[in-house]
Amino acid sequence: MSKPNIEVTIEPDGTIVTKVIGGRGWTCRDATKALREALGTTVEDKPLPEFFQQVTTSATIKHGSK
Amino acid sequence: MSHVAKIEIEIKDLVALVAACRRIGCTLVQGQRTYAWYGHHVGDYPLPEGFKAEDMGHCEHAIRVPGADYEIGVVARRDGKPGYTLLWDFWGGQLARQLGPNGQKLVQAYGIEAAKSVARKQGYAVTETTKPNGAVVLQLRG
Repeated sequence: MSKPNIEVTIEPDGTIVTKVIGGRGWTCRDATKALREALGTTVEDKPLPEFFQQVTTSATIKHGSK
Repeated sequence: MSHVAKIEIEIKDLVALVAACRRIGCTLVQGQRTYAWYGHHVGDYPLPEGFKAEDMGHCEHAIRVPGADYEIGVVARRDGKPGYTLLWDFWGGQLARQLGPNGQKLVQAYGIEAAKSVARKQGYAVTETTKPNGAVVLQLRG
């Protein structure tokens, strides 16, 4: 499986924001783990709505297969 | 896009710090054990956590900044974690004029170089752009 693309923004004050592009679920957090650990301390870590999409879809399929 | 993380930078990679200095026109002198400063702590500001007055002026490496008489000390962290603390005497304002408040120009440059280094080691192709507000965006393509 290919790695998701990542956007890293380094603000003028030195704060870094990472965004995973096109990844879903926990793979997103995994994708930036090494980057986050190498750069410093993660002070905010939040999923966006798409983060939950795969979980919702899986639940629907499971329900429909019964 | 499904996940966003905000990170506060810690100086951990000396090679990236060398590249960061070069990027903004400074020079990191490896092995320079003292850095230029006022010379004694007058007690008007608290010292960084874990440091004593006699520690000031001593370092593992030093950064020379064009246009500034004082230098920046690169000192091993004192809290047991790996990496470095940057120490400098901000009296006179020369360093702040060159590097911005809290040395943020140097910190940003370090963040850029450290992120590029980690990304390349992980096999990403990296492209860099700069926004009008000075923020630098790295696109990492796997």
